[in-house]
Amino acid sequence: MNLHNKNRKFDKIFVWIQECIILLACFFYLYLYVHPVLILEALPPVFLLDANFFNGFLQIPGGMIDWFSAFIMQFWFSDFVIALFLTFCFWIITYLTRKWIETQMEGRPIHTIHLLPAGLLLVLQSQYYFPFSITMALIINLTILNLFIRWAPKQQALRMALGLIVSVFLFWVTGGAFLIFMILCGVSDLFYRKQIANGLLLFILSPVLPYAASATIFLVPLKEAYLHNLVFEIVTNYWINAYILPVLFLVILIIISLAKIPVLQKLFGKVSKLALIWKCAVGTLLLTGATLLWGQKSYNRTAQFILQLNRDVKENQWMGVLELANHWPSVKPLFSFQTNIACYQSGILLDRMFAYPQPLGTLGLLMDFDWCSASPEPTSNFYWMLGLITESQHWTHEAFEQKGYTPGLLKRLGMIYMLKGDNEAAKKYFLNLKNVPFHEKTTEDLLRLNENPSALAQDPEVNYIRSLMPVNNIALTGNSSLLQLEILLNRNPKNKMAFEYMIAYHLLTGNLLELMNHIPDFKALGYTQLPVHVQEAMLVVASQTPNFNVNMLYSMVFRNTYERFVAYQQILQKFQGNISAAKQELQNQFGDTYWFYLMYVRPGSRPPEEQHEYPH
Amino acid sequence: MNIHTNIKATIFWSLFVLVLVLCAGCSTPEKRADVQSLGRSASLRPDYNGIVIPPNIAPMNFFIKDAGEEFIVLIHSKQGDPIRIQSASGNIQIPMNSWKRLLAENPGEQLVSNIFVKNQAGQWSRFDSVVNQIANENIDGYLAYRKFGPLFNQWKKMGIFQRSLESYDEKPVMFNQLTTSQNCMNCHNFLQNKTDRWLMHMRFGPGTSMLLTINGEVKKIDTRTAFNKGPGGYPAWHPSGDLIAFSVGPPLQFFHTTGETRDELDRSLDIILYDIRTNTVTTIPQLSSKERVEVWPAWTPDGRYLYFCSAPKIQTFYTKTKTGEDTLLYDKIQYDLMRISYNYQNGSWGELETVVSSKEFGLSIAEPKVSPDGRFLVFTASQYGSFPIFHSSADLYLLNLTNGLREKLALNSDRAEGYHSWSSNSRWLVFSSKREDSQFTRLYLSHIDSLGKASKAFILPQKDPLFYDTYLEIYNVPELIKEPVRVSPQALAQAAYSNAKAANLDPNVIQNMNADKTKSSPGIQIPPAKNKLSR
Repeated sequence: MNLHNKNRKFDKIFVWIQECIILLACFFYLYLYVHPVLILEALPPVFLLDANFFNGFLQIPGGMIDWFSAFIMQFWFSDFVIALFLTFCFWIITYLTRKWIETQMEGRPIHTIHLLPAGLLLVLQSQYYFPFSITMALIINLTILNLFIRWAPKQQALRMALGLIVSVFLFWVTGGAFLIFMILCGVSDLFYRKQIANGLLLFILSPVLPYAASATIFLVPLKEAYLHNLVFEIVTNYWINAYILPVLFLVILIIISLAKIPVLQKLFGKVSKLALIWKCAVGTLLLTGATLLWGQKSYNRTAQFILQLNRDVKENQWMGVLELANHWPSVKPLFSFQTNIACYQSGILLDRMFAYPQPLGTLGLLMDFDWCSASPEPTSNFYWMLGLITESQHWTHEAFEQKGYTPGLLKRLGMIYMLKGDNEAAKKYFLNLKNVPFHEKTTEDLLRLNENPSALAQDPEVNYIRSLMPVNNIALTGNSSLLQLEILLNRNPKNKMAFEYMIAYHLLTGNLLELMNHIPDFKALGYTQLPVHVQEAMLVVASQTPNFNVNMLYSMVFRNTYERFVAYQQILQKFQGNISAAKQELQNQFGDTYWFYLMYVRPGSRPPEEQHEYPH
Repeated sequence: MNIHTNIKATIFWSLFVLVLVLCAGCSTPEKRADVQSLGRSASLRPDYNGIVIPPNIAPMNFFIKDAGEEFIVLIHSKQGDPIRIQSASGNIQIPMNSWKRLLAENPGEQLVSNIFVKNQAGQWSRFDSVVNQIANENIDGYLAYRKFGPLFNQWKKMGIFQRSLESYDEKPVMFNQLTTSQNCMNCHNFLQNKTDRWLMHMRFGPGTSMLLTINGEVKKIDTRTAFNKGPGGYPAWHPSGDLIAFSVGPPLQFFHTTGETRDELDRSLDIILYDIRTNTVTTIPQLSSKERVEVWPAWTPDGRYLYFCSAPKIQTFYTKTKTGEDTLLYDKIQYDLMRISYNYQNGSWGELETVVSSKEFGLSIAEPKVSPDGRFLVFTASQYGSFPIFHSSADLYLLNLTNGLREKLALNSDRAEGYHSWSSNSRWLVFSSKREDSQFTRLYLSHIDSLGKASKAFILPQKDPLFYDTYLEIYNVPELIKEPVRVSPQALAQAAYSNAKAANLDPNVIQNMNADKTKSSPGIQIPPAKNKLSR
């Protein structure tokens, strides 16, 4: 007897060690590899401390868990905190799953299988777009499941009444995730606990409750009534990821059911005779391997890259953005767009922009309408920096529709309306921002500024942006264009960003004659020397213009640039003008020059864009 | 003994005086003569002072912005028990039943609110009374409107709602998330302020079409034909309930570099008629002229005239800038108010008449609506175009159809006023306005008297008087209705996913179109309508 107890104690220790190893691995995987703070970039948690905001969540099944998850996410300050918190959630799920399985297995020792949900959640949560509310809904359902299985009254009528109340409650609180409770509890009651009436009730309610609720009380589509907080919208490499969590619990249920069949018990008898320590070791290895493999396979690098890029830009981490430029997973206008912003902010746009990929020409400098629509927040930031506040307003509103009341967007809109002199509209956004946790102090300052025009007029940032904002009304079609830059330069010729973007635009299109017209402007804007790419462009023009002013060349082009140009020409001559043959060598030596861009990279002219309708 | 008696007497009188003082301090200020007047009105939010109130409106709760430790509001009229509300915060929540009783007992009388404030020293003062007028005529019990964020091109949440004006109950008629978030819902419109015949539109989502409800049955109809590539918008019911006039044609969105960012330009609008009986779309040259754009149809209540707005098509909406890019001559287009007579019996049309010429008037006319009694027509006028809510110059004007006189209504503000709707008794007007700020359209109500004079407008009351301070959605297309929409959102969503019945095109229109094709016309240089942005 003592030996048996001792063995059981050891078994528990082995299982505990296994859990520790797996959960530690989860933590370090999240913390070191996934960079979980990007989850906030993918699914920004919208949360206001406001009764009306809360009431909105009561009106949808699963809304309460959405609200609570958004609240929790307000405390996700860093990778470490998020990794720790998620690992804690995985531990709770592991614990609850173990308790549930133990109940079904009538005390037989278990290992590994209860860690499957944690492993899977690690894979899913690494997708960034996996809603945290699904994890929270799972915790609630597993908690209630364990409580119900252990503590629900045995008396049939009482058990059914409680089952009904719990089902309705879980559906209201967690949405479609209540199916996990319903099916697991239903099977338990029906097959293991001989509570056939309650089991049947739960099975009947499972499909009926979402349907009835959707048709009567809750105004949600049927699909959402069944699936909200159960599966998630697929943004991963594998569609199965979207559905795998509920499926996994069914698989576990099947496995533990099979384990009870005597024939199968005999069949796997040999395995069951192995010491638990070995089973745990093998299980740990298999689970870790499978998780890593599945995680790697379904990890969406492009998504991760875009999130990282946008976050770095938002946080003014310009060096980070430029470093990312060497690792583009694919070619997208947004990548060039953000890289060019980083180049400008680092003061190297006209000196080094061609050291970074510019395969899309002007599309990577000023994105077209469709790309702006797909990335409204970066577009809004761009126009804010540029001083075209009406366009920043436009794209912030688009971002607001896509993302909701995030603190960044509330603040931006408040600032925009304040700058435009619409203090009442600004106040509305600031009052909402005040309801976001941890933003009260900042908002108080903004509200004070908004209500005090003289203080506003003395604010350096406000003054600077106002000095850039156009004062003459001009109609635009909504597409990013050279015209916008011209409008800004007409308003304030010292708008350095607009000027550099205009020059970059001419460089990208190869409109060198127009570029040459702007050479005197550099001096007027206080440039002590001509930027490198402009010097390179000037050399191209000089080489093709018979009577080019040589003095101008000597005074404006560095000797080094000139010598590189001569070397470039020599390589071309070496290949007897065969541009294709010379490409590799030129790329190796001059891949970062305007000459190489002009000869090999420059795309065709930008296609005309569509016009847009307002939703009447 | 004497000393003892004196002590007793002193204590007694001291206590007596103390009780008197305490009683004086505690007595309600409205009953005391020594309460000083502040000589000014209280600052209320919303501004419910000097307005005309429908006798069936929900309690008009308000917030007193003035500083004070405590407030007492006494609302009374000629008859009935006054309502007394005490509040420490200044948030005045009027009890529903008492309010209803007071208003019901005093139609046509003044409704006076006496407001008292206690300062930090504990002294009570009185503001000037707030005096409002209770109208004799009820307002229709329900208001249907659309709500969404102040959007530009994209949207996620959009819905049509109905609000009981006699309470604060707001219920969705339909919202897009019951279908897909891409679904844009618009143009809800009711026959004669009732809900037995009404329609709404959907674009994108489950399919661009009209949801037409007749006696509770919802039909999905695609009004697009070979004549009109896009669906009908801005509907107007003929009083027979058999015909609906629409304008068709895509507007162009563009943006300004200062002020209100968004704007709209109509390029090639026409008016069509949809006959419910035959499921046929038709038009006539007067309503779909090649030389003009026609928009905003509105029937007279007797069905004998169709009013609409019309402007000459200008040769091009584009001009070249020095960099060779297009810009828009958006401010060159002004709309006249026109009308054409119609004989319902034989379907014949009369001659076109210009009712208000934009050239003479100096403003562009949009959104004409004839009052149900047929005496007045209210329209919106702004500097240019036919989408006035984006123009701060937009104001509401009333045209007296019996004597032809027009006047700018007193309900206007410095900012944009727009889409309006008459109550079924022609005594109330609901309209949208951006008077609070330049961004958020809110709904306002105003009483129109028998002479066509508008009372000071007031915002649609909410239970929380500070509701609008933080509310980030806009209201538009308000329509007053006498009864609630009874079709459930689920039924509408179900209909949205049913197969649409395609409308037929009138053979006469096909014939005219074929005849036009054979003619060699110099045509108008209108840029081709490009494909819609994929959303």
